[in-house]
Amino acid sequence: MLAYGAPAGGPARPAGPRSDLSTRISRMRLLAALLLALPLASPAKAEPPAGDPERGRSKAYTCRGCHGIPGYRNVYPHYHVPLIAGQNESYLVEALKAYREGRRRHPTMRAQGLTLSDQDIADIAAFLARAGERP
Amino acid sequence: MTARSLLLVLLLASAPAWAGDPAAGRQKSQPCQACHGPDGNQTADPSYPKIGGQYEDYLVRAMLAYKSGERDNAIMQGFMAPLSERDIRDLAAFYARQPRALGDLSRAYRD
Repeated sequence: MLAYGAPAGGPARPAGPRSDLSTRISRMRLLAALLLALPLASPAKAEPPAGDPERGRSKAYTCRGCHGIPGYRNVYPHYHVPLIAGQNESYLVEALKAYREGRRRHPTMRAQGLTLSDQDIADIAAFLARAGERP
Repeated sequence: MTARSLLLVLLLASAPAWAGDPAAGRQKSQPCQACHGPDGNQTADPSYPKIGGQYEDYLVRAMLAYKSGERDNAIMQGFMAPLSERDIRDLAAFYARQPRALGDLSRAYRD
């Protein structure tokens, strides 16, 4: 028993080159993990563009063809086209994008949507949301 | 005119469906109110539409489209799933008769 009992009396082994290396590797791993996580942590890239009601006013001129005629109806199926002046802005943005991207199906609205950029949609929605303010 | 064609005419004439019942719609509108507000225009979030005073037939059409998935919206599809077409017509009749917060664009370019 005692034969092996030579107390490991020496001071704790000083950090040798080996442990230096493993520290460095784990630091590099940490750094790599942080770098990989960075895109997740950064703020949403696609910040929605702010709408300009004045630009929206001219871009929405076409909308009058249907939405500017009191009581106008979709031909088939037959129902009134919705009242959109004064509607909530971000609802309008989402609805227009949904038509453009096919998540709402309506041939005319999809055709219109396909001509619009995100900025156009934001501008049109900004104008429409305020167009309900009547004198 | 044979009896059969007479029957057909009668069936077609009665086809334009039942109108919605606004009083029944009010009873059924409880779940809608959390997002659209009591009269459809006090929306909890600007991403929800104002629906008070909107055209009744458009509201029916929109709700049916959410129900069928023709409009791809998980929230609305979930709410529409348990509703019958009569429920939807009743709800549309109720909301169409609430104060109107929306307009058409006929006056938007006047000045």
